[in-house]
Formats: sequence, C-alpha cells, structure tokens
Amino acid sequence: MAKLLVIPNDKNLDKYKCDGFILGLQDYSINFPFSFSLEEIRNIKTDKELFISINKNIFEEELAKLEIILQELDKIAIKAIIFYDLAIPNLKEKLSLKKELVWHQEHMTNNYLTANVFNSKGVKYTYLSSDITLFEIEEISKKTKSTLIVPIFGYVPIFTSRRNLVNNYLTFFGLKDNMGINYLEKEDKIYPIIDYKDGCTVYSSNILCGIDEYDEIRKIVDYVVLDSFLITDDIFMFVLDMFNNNINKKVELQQKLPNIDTNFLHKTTIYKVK
Amino acid sequence: MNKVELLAPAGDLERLKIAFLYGADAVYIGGPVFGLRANAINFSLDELQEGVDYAHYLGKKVYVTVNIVMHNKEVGLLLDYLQELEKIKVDAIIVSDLGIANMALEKTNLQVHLSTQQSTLNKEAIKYVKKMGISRIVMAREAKREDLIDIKKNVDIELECFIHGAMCAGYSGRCVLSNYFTNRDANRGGCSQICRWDFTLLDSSKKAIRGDKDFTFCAKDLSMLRYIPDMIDIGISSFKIEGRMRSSYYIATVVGIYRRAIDEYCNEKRTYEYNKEYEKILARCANRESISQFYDGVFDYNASYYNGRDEVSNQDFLGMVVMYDDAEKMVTLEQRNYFKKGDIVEFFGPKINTLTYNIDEIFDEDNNVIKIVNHPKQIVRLKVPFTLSKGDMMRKKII
Repeated sequence: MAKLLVIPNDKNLDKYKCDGFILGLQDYSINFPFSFSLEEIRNIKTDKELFISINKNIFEEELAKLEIILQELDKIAIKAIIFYDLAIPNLKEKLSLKKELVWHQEHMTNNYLTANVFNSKGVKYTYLSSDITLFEIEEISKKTKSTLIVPIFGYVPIFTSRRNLVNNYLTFFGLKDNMGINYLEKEDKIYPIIDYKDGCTVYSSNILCGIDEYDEIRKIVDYVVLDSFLITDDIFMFVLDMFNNNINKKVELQQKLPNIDTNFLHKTTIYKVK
Repeated sequence: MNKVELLAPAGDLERLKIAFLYGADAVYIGGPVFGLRANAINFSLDELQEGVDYAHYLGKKVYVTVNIVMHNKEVGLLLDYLQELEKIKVDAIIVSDLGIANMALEKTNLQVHLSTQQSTLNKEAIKYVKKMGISRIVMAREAKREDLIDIKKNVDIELECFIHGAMCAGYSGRCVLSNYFTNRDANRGGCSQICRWDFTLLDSSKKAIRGDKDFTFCAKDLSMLRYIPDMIDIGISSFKIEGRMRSSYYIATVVGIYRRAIDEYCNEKRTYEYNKEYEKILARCANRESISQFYDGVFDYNASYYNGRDEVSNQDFLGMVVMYDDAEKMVTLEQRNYFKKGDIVEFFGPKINTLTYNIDEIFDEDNNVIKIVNHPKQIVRLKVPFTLSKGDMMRKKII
C-alpha cells in the first residue's frame, strides 16, 4: 500500500499524520510553501521519511555550493533527494554519494522506458508527472522496477520562467501591487502566478484531487503526494484526514475547494494536433 | 579557427533547399512522428530521404527532431522509427527524452544531440549526458555568456546556441500551458503558444491590476547578430536559427544575413566591422523587436513584449526568381505579394549584394504589358539590367 507524503505548509511537522515529507531546500527549490536551510533539515526530529527536493534549474555559478549541499545531505538521515537538473545525478557519481535519487523532471517523467533508463543508472525512484492518466500510471508500475511516487493532490506548476514576469509587467507600466500572490485571469478561470528570486511560476487553475482514484493508485505505486502549496491549513488538514482514512469526502471538499479536478487522470492530452 | 555551423530550420523540402542556397551548413527538420511541431507540415520518410540525399550531395547536414517527451504508447513505435532514420542516414537526431537518447545510442549508430527542451545550463548536467554518448548540447536559452565560457573550458563537447528567432517565455520542458488551456500536449508537439495570449493580472484579493496593455508572457525575440564574433571566439559549434514554421522568405533573409556576418568575421577577423545594415534587414523581417536576451543578462521588463504581434515581414516578400535570361536581360518571377509598376524594390540572394530597382515594365506570361501583379504565384517578367539567379528574391525596399 502506498505511503503518504506531504508537502507541508507549516514547519511544525508533528501536526501532519503521514509517512513522510517532501521539503524544499533554501535557494535550490521552487514551488514550495517555504524552504528549509541545510541546518534546519539537519535539526528536524522525526521518524518519518524525508525527501529533499532540489528542483530548480541549476546555473553554473550554483554548482560549487550545490556540491557542498549534496555532500552534507549525504550525511543526514533523509530518504532521498528529488532532482530536476541532470547536474545532480552527475554530482552523485562524481562525489560518490550514497543517498538515493528521485528522477522528477516535472512534466517529463511520463513513461516507463525513461524511468528504466534512469533506474539502470542508479536512480531508483521516479516521481511521475501530473500529465499522465491512471491507465498510464498502471502500465508504468507494471513495466518498471523503479519506486514510484505519484502526485495525488495539489496545484500543478504548469509554467516556470527565469524571468520575474509579474514584476516585469508592473515595472513596465508603472503599477503598484500589494505584493501577495497574483493571479492570471482568462475565460473565467484564474491561475496563481508567483514571482520569486529566481523566476516565476504559474499554477493550474484546478487543484488535482485523486480521492476517487486513491484506492486504485495506492495499490500500484509506492508513494502518493499531497501538496499543501496555496491551500489553507484547515482545508489541507481536512484533505489529509480524508486520504489518511480513505474516506471519500469529495462532495464536502468541493464546497471548500470548488476547483478540484482529476486533471489528466482520466483524459489524455492531444498528441497529434492534426 | 574552426568554422561555426550555421543551422537553419526547414519546414519542408522547398525551405530546406532555400536554407542551403542561402548559406546554411545544416538544417533541422521534423519527421512524420516524435517531433515537437506536430502542427507543422513535417517531412514524410521519403521526403526525409530526399532532403538528406540533397544535403549530402552539397556536403551539408540534416538533423531530425525526435524531441517529444514520450508517453507509454509511443515507446513501442520508437525503435522502428529510429532505425528508419538510421537507414536514411540523417546526420543526427535531436532528443529531449533520455529514454529516446538511450535507445538511439544503444540500438543504432545515430548521433544524438540533446534538445533545448532539457534546458541544459551547466557543465555537470552536460557531463552526465556526454557519458551516455550524446555528442552535442542545444543550450538552454537562459544560458549567459559566462556560463558558455565556463562550460567550454570544462567539457569537450559541441555546444549549439540559438542566435535568432522567437523566445520561449519559460524554461523549455517546464511549460505545459497548452496542456492545461487547450488540452494540447506541449511536450509532444502541441504547443499552442498560450504565452502569446493576453491575460488580466489580478492582485491577491483578485482585483485587476491594469496597465495600458494586458498581461502577457511574451518576450521580445532573440537576435545575436552583434555577438556573432564573441560567440565564435567562445567556441560555440553551431548557431541555430529558430522557426520550423517560418516562410521561405524569412529563412532566406535570416540565413543570408548570418552567413555573411559569420563569413566576414571568419575571413577577416582583424578588420571585421559590425554591419548596421544587416541589423536593419533582420529587424524588418522580425515579428517583434529583437534583443540579445539572457546572453548578456537582460531578462527584466526590457525583455518583455506587450505590444501584440505586428507581422509585416511576409508582406515584404514580393517574388521569387524563377529564371533570368541574360540575352534579353529579363527576369521571370513568381509573385508572393502585391506589387505594381513604379514600385521601388530590392533583389537579394546568396551570391548578390542587395540591388535596388525601380519597376518599369511588367509582362505577363503571354508577353502582355501589365501594371499590377496581384495573383498569388502569378508568373511575370521584368526587364532588369543586372544578372539574377534562380532562388534570388525580390522584396520591398528596406528603408
């Protein structure tokens, strides 16, 4: 049965009933409610599994510090390091690190063949994208030896830029903002957009929620992820409780979050346009 | 000095031939499947063979994009397709999915280039894929000059950089706006350019923040003309022009200008001077204002583009030279846009400098004198005093 991983929106991890956490690392992670410094990670007291996500695109000038960070993380009792940039598996080899890696190139982790290629190179975990169907997840689970992690609840980052696009717009037109989260509106839907130090991310209008599919998914993968980013604490605790007890309170949840959706769990994206 | 490769896009055989005629050393094209421009015409396997044979006859190269991010259902079709490309003798495939790269490298003799979809920015990532056997990296557009220098110093591998064309607003590979707005898969060829759409920006209380124009992701285009000498000196192996869906005229113009700039610098490095005229011609051909973007660290509001599209370029293209009769001093043209007697136009081509001409007399195919040319692909003849060649083009005079 799949373990339940949480991306928390509070540094008090004790409050979450789950099997483990995915945490952001200061300066090297994006799309997290907050990130932890190396020192903070070192001082976390928990018997739960910790996955540290280094999911930003890495520039040349960030490599030296990244090497130090990876060496330090190798000494800490974390389960694995989640990566986007291919620098990380190379540094693992170069520095002879022991820590397990999780291949999570966001929207590029979509098939069993590539998961198996990474597996053969020592990357034993695959964190699947949120753009594939339940049927595809099932097929991947049958055809790969990789330990599978699957997102099951949360907003989906759908666009990441090096540019600070909100700030660029405000500056260009001499506008002021209250500096909170911004949104983009199109055809009656709104999409969260957030500037941060290294760029900007846009998130899906709908929140992925696979509670209807949870029974099936948890039999075929190793971990499911509940992401609290942009979700208020009370609602997220409600969601966590729902998944923990596997009680489908979707109707009740829809009253709190009308924009929950199964996204691509049951619908395929169009490949050939014509 | 190793001469840098000029790499052009080609949406079909006609554009492939134009790209080579105007000085491209190589072209990149999409095959019938597995490419990121599913909406383009793309090449059938027979056309690929014809294009590759033609390129090799000229001593030039063809790279084929196999750059989708696969879903399971594509996996079973992959090896047959790669073996077809191997048989056709394409010079390399451009790949973003490492599953595809691995299969090509293990099961075929294809050369593999890593697509910009991987947004490669650092030497460690490059070392990782080099160990797999990947021979060239198409660098992320976000790479700075200093990054390129450092990478070249530390890894012996070919680097390919975009030098001209439209910019993705986000990191390639991390944009799936199309998936979530139009259900079209951005990483499998369905990009519907949501980044060009207008949006209303809202604040945290969901009230509109309105500038003179709506919010858009859109960036200005890229033009590295001014930095060509610098990039050659850094040791970039290949200069890539964006735009597999661009017109023949665009390809001829852009390839022709960069061919000249590269040759002028490589042939006479000490006396090379930046040619402002080239900049003017490229600007006229562009849809948007062009800048050097991340190369010299500009990605603030100056790099954003809020003024909508302004596609004047294709209307500049008036006709393609079909033949020239030296005895009669008569050029036969195939019309592309409206022109008339009295217009001041320019001829340009791979072997001629820009030649200005005042249209005096126009004859139709039956030798009747006509005053206007307004039918698509209409064949007409003009009396022109200078020698032209098949494939030269006539455009509006660029002022």
